[in-house]
Amino acid sequence: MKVLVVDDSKAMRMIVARTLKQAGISNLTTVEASNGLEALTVIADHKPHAVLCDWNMPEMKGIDLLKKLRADGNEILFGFVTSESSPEVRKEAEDAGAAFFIVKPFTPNAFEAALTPVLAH
Amino acid sequence: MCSNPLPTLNTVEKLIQCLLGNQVEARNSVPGPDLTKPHVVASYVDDASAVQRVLICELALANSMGAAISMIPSGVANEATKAGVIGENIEGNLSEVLNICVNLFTENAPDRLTFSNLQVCSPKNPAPALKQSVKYAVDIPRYIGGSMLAGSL
Repeated sequence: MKVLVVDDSKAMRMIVARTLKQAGISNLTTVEASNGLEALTVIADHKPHAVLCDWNMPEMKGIDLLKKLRADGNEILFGFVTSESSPEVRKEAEDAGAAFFIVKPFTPNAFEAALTPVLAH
Repeated sequence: MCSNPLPTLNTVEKLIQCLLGNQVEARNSVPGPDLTKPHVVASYVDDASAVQRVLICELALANSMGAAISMIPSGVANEATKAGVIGENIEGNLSEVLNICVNLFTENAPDRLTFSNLQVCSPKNPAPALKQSVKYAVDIPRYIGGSMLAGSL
């Protein structure tokens, strides 16, 4: 499974990738982008199966990336990994088509709980 | 006016453990960060961009947290602290740590806050005056620990 990790923090991209492995996601490979705009290119080039995306980033925010993908007809599995935790932000994410929402800081268990149900489909 | 409470010791310890490992320990601390020396001030703003909460960390602790999240050697953090700055390779990491620390102020709380920025303050460039604060000491294995405080304006 190829997963795109989008976060403007290099350290956080590394931690998310490590946590995905710890969560037991099988046959995992990861690709990275540091903002939404860069992610659009990576998605076109690498065709990942899923996107794990930060909310607040320069150039293009995560929610704008998700809206752009859906507007273009791309139904890729998309979830947020973010320090945002308010109900309003969660609702905006769900309304835009996010499949899961993980709040930083997180544990491998949080990844497993969020990802296992959506990966089963 | 933000009504979110200041974080408890348990909340602080759990969040930092989640970021930097289960061996991290936090305890209540008096007197807290030494503001006569360089220290890092992280500001958290409401939806009107007004600063409502701050985290103030001793420079050594700030460099240690920024280094520890991506396993930058402690020596790099210590050299930056000696120079009175945030390490060049550490600042991005520290921003992410402090960004995540917004949840110290928003977990189970009514008002949305977001991390705004961090700055190095000193007596010549002091942190804002606080109405209320809670102080903690944080120990990170293999790194220099230090004091921090969470405050409301």
